[in-house]
Amino acid sequence: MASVILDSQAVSVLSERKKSESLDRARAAIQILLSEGANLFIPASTIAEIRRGKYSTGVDRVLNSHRIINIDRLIASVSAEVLHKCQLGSENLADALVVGVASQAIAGEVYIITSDPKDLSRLSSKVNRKIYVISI
Amino acid sequence: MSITINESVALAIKELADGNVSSFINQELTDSVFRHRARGFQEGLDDELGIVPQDAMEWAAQQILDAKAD
Repeated sequence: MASVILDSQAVSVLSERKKSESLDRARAAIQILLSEGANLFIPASTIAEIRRGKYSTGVDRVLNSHRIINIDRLIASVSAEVLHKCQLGSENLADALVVGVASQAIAGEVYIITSDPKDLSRLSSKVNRKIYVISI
Repeated sequence: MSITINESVALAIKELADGNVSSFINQELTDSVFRHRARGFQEGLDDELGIVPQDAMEWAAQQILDAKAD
C-alpha cells in the first residue's frame, strides 16, 4: 500500500482552493494515488510552516481530512542525518522533516507531493528507501 | 497470568521501547478512516471546482510514471 506525504506547498494549494494548474495537478495526483489505495499523510511540522498567522477554514479542512504524523525521535534523527549528508543547514529543516516522515512509512511505495521538488529530491536520495517526489 | 510471545513480537516491542521504530508505523496501521476522509475532501473539491481536467490527470499519471522510472 502506498503512502503519500503532502508538504506545505501542497497543503497550501489544496487549502486555498483557487483554480490553478497546481491545484488541478495536486488533485489529479492524489486522485490517482487514492484510487490505488494510498494513504495520505501530513507531517505535523508542516502545520508550523503553513499556520503562521493563517487560521483559514481551508487549512483546517485539509488538516482534518488527512492523517497528521507526529515528529518523533526517530523521524527527527533521520531528518538530521539527511541534512548532514546533504551538508544543508536548518533553513532546510522543514523539507528534511518531510523526508524523515516519508522514510518511516510502512512498507510500500512512498510519494511526496510538492511544488518544490529540487531540495526534496536531493534530501530523499539520502535515505535507505526509494521516495518518489511528485512535482505539482 | 503469563503471556507467551514469539521472537519477532519480542523484538518489535524491544525496538519500540528503544525508540528505533517510528510511531508513524503505528499510526499508519489505523488509517482507513482518514483514507475515507481524504476521498470525501477530494469529492468536496470536485463539487466546488468541477472534476479534475483530463490534461491534469494525464500529466499526473505521467509524473508518477516518470518518478518511478528515475
